[in-house]
Amino acid sequence: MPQTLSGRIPGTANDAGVGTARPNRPRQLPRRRVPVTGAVGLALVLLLVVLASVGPILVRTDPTAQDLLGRLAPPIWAGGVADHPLGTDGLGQDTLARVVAGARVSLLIGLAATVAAGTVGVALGLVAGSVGGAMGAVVSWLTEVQLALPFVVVAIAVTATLGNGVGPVLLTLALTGWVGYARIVRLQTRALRGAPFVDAARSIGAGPGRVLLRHVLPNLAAPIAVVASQQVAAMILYEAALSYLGLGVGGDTITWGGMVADGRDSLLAAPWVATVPCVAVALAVLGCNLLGDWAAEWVGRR
Amino acid sequence: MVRFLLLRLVSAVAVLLGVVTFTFALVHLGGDPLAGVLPPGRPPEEVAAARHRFGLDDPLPIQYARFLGRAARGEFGDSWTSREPALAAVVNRLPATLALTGAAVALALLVGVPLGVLGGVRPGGARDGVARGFALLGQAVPSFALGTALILVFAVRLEWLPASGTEAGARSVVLPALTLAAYPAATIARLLRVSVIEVLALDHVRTARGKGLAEAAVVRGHVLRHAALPTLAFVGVQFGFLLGGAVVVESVFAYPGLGRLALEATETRDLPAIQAFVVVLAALIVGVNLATDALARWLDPRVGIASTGGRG
Repeated sequence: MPQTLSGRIPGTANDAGVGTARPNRPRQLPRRRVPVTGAVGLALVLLLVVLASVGPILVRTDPTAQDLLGRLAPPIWAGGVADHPLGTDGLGQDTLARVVAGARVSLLIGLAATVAAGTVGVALGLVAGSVGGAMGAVVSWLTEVQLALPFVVVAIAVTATLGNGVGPVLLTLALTGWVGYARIVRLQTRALRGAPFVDAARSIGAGPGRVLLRHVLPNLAAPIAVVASQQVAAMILYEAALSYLGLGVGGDTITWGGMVADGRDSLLAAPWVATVPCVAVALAVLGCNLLGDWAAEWVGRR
Repeated sequence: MVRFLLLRLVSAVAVLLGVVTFTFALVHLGGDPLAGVLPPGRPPEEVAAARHRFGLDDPLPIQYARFLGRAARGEFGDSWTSREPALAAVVNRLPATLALTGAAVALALLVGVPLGVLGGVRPGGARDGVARGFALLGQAVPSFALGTALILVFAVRLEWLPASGTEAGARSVVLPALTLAAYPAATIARLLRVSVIEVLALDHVRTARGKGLAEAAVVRGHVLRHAALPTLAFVGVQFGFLLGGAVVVESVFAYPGLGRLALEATETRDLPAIQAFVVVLAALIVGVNLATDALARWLDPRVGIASTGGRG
């Protein structure tokens, strides 16, 4: 969806690792050290986590305090004052404090949506892979239906009927993000169906549910984690887009997408109001993507 | 081929059935569909009359059957705000969105294919670094951020292109199409790069090199042909996601396409317009995917019927 955020099917298109080894050079030892991109990703994600967890303690300014005389103050590199290092918006609210407040929403929704989509996808994949037959056909059909419904379209339909809120946002992201998990879990479950330890579990009387949850699922932890780690970035991007379009959490919640939308009106006079949250989204997504690729590479090597 | 097409057609109809069911379920699980239309505090007789007028007092299965039958004929009722047929309202906006999406696909191919090939031919080289950097950035920058930046540079500072609307004709499509193309261009570059690296390691490439072909001829004649298929398949799937992404881009550039219509309908809870929007868009996507499948099958007869289920 990712896409422009539209194109990304969450958790697909993993080409991590290809090309980091250089096939033209002979006698290259396997690289064990942390790749630069992975380190950058780790640093960016750590920054995001710190901002989201303790940011409001570090930046004491109230993100909702309005200062109508200090509206659209420029950031510090454009001649602004130290009180508002990243300037202020059209209501005189501190941009830095709002970016920090938005980090929490971004990260929480990104993680929660990934878990929600993963739960749906893993459950459907397990059922389709173990039962097969009609259930497999149903899951295939659901996959095709989902592919005909881009996530913005689902978001519009969900918001029009259920309104704004955390629930509808998570519902939208779960409905559009489960396919990647279902596909990989289904394939792997089918592959494990005849594995010796599965036969052994069945022979001592374990029921199908117990076999799936206690014996098959733990073996799928690594691929599921890879899909999830690559999906967090997409989810952060999606949440920002939804908030930008007014299809997000809504209410008084401060979100990066909402900040960009607010900054549209003052794009001429005060471009930083819209630019700062844009940069925040891009850095967060970049960090999660780099870290996710590194994780995939690391799992792939083991 | 005929059997393949027939099977794909049946599956396409089944998918559309699912889409229609989804829109119906959402409307009826989401509480009272009339909640946003009737002002609160109306006398019960008036509410009952309105429910009867929209057929909401019938049992759900009957409403569902009626909805299916009308959707099959393209009837979604009149838009609650503009009073015109919802389907006509959606179809009127379609050309603008299709023009934007088509331009974006062309741009994405124009940028993504050379980048992917240049990167894949010599992985780890300087060009590959540029290509990978572009791919990473293209996938990380949200379209609304890129659109905003493009407006700032090309419309506000340089005043080369219009910032919004469609008054300037083709020139007003340039910035929205660029914005929409960034993500698929990045993804195409990524996919093609990997394909090229894989194909370069195949035996027939070694043979082509062995008989003394120049490297450029090897790439053009023996690598690209192989590497193109996954990318083609991807472009087909991508088209649908671009239609979704167009909603965001249209909102950034105040471009009067389908997305603007849908967002306005969301604000007013105009359910007939929303339902028509969802079904028309899904039908378009299913149609394009069908065409891409047929094309892939024609290009490479090994593309089997069994593969249709696992796609995605």
